[in-house]
Amino acid sequence: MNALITLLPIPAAIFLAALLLRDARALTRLAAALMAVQVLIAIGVLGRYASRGDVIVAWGFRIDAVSAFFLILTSLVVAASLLHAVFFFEAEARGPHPPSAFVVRAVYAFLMLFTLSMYGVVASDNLGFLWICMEASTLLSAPLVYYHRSPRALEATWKYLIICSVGIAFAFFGTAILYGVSQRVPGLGDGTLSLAALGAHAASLTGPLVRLAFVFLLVGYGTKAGLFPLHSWLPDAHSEAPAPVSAILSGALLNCSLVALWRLTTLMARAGQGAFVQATLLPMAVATVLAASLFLLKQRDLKRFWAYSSMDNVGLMAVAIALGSGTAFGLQALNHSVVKVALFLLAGNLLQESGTLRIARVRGLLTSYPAFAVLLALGTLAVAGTPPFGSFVAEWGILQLAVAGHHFVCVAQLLLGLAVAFVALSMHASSMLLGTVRSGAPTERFNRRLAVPGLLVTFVLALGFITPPAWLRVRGQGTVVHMRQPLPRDAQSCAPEGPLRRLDGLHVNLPQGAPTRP
Amino acid sequence: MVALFSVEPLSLMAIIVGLCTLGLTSLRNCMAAYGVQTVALGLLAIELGVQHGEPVALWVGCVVLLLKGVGIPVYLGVVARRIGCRRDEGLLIAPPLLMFATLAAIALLVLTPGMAAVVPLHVWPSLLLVTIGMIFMMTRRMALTQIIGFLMLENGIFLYGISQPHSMPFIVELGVLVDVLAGTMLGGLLAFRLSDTFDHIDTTVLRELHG
Repeated sequence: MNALITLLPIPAAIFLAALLLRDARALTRLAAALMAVQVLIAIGVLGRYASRGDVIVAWGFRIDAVSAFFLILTSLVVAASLLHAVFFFEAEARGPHPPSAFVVRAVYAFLMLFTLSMYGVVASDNLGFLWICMEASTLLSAPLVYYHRSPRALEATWKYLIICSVGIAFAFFGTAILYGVSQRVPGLGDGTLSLAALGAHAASLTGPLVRLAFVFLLVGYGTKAGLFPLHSWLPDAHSEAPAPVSAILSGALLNCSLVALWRLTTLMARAGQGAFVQATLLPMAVATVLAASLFLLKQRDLKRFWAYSSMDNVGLMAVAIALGSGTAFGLQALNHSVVKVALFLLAGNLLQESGTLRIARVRGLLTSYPAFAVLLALGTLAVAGTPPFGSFVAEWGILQLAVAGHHFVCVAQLLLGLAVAFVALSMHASSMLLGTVRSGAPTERFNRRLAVPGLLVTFVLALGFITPPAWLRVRGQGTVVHMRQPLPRDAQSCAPEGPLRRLDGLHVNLPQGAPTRP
Repeated sequence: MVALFSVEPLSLMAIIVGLCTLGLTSLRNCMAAYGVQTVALGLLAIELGVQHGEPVALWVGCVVLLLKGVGIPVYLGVVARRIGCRRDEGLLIAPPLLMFATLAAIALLVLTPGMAAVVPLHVWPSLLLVTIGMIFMMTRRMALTQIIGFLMLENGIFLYGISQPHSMPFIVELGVLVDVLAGTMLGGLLAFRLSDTFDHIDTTVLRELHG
């Protein structure tokens, strides 16, 4: 549990610095440096948990493979965004609406509390704490969406606050129902909200109320994840926030809601409700992919475009969750987070350089701004899931999983969605990259603001080469993210039942003879 | 069909107040009704806490009664007065008509044989409150009435929590309360910004972002 505490000082220090430091420039640099250290700390302290099967539960929080992996990923996303934010705020200060030092300090103060709330979501073992942190993440990020103070930003903030709050209220109803059910389970005393304890007595979690609870929880956390048809806030909030915040909303916050869904899905699977979970979550996830890809076609604003692409990826991750594969979920989350942070940061650069995000107004980037154009092209290819990027491996894995589970209709729908998304992505990207340069287009050759997106795109490219052998070798031992969440010691007798368990062994891209987890 | 007859008087009162709120158009009355509903639920929590000897429920009841039952209506009332927003005539359907339609729908649901098998009896009161809050939110225009609808919805969930044999852990209840209060504060502040920016708080006119 000390591992979790070691993650607290740096966000707290940046928060204090935001309150005390009057110099916004110094603050952005200090925060970037400290957050980079935070990533190293997270990897150093939690890396070993990500590759082991232990579960440590104390004070309502837990460290296991899932929480360790997503704590590291969240830290990485925040660090990359803050590193870029140094250049972002420098450019803002030169722009038409320079933010005051107070605004920058407020952004950093809220960002740090927001980061801590995301840590809380990922590391919660108590469903009550999970809910509190999730709602706190909405409340703390809403002011960040309102950064530009425009009528559009205000509208986006309002929608974000009200839709997510109502959605999450349903999740609390589900939590309360589950708590009520647990009070009637012998062995749980006065009832519990602890995932570990509920998991240990999962066999007793039966009846229609458990299913009702899951439906409410799915609606609640599904809203926050942007699952169709509860997604309407997502493109607004992600497009109106400043670029580094959009990157964090898309690269880290969406993962957090999906982690909540993963925890509940595994709990339900253990309670013998695997078939029900799959029957509710899988259609929703596939519909999300299809809807997002159709929305992608008609987008005219680059940031809204990336927001719908995030929704597309959320759908894929939800498919992985519904099929019970944590590995596929983790891999897809990693690839999507890294590349989407890069793309949102690039969109921020474009807005600052050319003053517009309208796709139709940007032409000929390849001739006017080649370094930027190359990164944009690579990022678009990566997010579309083309080989040799890591996202291809992840999406291929998800499709294989669906085939292995005999969800052929789903596979067909997913392929259709992915194909439409690919067409939309390549159509819009090529219209920006090619063509003749218009006046007012950015003409810089290279600047520092391409450093972070460049590193991230390289990372996704590298993942495409690193992942397959490494993944196939270690997945059998359950490294990185487990397909099956390890049970607490006293719960070993309650193995998961139903389709999710059946699917655990169905990673068909495992090589023959690979060691399987006992 | 016995669902409603086995309900505690205080939660029955909360449901009836909720139903009446559906028919109100004056913002002040809506806030007062929310206050009455929340005070009723706070009293219920205190009563149950005393009955079952659970100090947690007792304390939670007191805090809810003061902060949510009194504090929130006063705060929202101040916001409404500053903005100068007095009425919400509702969306699509006139509020009094909506109230009777909802009443009829609830009666129909309760009298449908076999409903008790689908949704267990003890879930009914809170589910009704949640539904009423949801209907209120969906049929109103103003930002402030939407916040009230959200709060009524949240009251329904609170009712479920306290009507269980054991109340939720104190720290969870406290965290939820802090989140709800902070959310309401933020909602009120945003309502100010909305009225500054657009000269109204009619959320149905916010149509800049779509597609």
